Amino acid sequence: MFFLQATNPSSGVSSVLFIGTMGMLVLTVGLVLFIIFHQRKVARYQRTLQKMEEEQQKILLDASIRLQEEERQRLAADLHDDAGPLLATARLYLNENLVNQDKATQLQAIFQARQIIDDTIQLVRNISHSLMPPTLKNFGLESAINDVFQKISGSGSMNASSRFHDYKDRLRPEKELIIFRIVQELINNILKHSSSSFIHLTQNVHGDKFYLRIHHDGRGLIQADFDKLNKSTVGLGLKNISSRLKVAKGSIYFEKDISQTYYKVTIEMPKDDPYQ
Amino acid sequence: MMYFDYGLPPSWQGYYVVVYTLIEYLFFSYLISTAIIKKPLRFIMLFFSILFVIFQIVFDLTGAKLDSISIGIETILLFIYIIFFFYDHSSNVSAGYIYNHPIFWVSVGILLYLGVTFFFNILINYMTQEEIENYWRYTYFTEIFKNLFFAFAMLQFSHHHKLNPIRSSQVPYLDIDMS
Repeated sequence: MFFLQATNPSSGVSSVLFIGTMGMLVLTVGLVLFIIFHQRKVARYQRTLQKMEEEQQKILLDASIRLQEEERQRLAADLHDDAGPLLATARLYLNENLVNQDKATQLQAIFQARQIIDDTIQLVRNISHSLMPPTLKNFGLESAINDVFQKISGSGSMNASSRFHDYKDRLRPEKELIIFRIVQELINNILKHSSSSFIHLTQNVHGDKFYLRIHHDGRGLIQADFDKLNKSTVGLGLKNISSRLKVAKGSIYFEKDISQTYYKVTIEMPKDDPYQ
Repeated sequence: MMYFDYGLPPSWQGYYVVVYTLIEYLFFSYLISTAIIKKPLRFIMLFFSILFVIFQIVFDLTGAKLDSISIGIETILLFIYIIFFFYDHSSNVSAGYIYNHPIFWVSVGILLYLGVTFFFNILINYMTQEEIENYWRYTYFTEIFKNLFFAFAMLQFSHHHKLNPIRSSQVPYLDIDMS
């Protein structure tokens, strides 16, 4: 610049100006073109990423189908191994010969059969509750989650608490079920793997978003671990969480607190119209 | 932003030029800095900006026809910042296409505007009045293109959806008090 300024003005400032301006124009256009061409490379990279994303979707779908099959197998096993023998035993007590027995034996058999039928009813109720918790259906997410936390706390193995700050407007039932299943999965993981001494859940609403956060002080995951496990073939539960979140257009974020003393898992969901 | 000093008393024009350059520099560099993710690059920008502001205030109140040196420095610095922005975003593929970013179009506008007027600004003190007036008209073309790019950037900004991570720290009572 100083060199240019030091040149003799009479020796053709205009030509310097013209050449310089053209040079700058070429430089500018060149720079912009370079970036745009570079972006083409980026586009190719993005396509590769998209392909990987599709593969990831496939893994998630497989996981979801596998989970569904496992659930069906469990249900079939419960019905076949527990309900089936119970009902067969009750049938034995209530056979045709019962009418030929004395009154005391009849009463004894009816009493036994009734008890077995009561057990079967309880078993079927348990199976039904595991499929759709009645608290969730009748009283909503807040009560269902509080119920789960009370049960954990009541077992004495862990200090568990939950607090809903703003849940006057319930989410739609299908969304509540999704959140409940995710929380169940997260709690299961924490109970199984974290060895933590407390687990605490908070809920709030901010803008048009619904937030749930679980805190625990055991071994936990950070976002990078979650992403890695999601892409691998292991971690069926986490994949299940991801696919449920995808359905509800939600997101999840795993992090370690800034104090490094506990882990936080945050679920973010779009808040839909209030459900009556 | 348009440079427009018609009607100003000659004694004020020198100050106007200095203030205009300063505001222009600060405005453009702030816009670019908002789009730069890497902290070291932003620190470099801040460091050079402080130096430039000091230079403008201390040395550039000489009342020349146009403060050529400071405009030259401004151009070079803004070019460097734009290259920072390009580098920052071209290496960050997860952020998507750079031309989907409104600052890209702002940068193109700045590059065109400052690039084309760079030599004119630094040589202006060596040009005749006739040459200045002759060339000055052409700078309006770059101003128009610059403003078109800026308008496009503003339009794009309104449609720009940033992938934001959960900023749940803003949500009240979501964190437990561990103290």
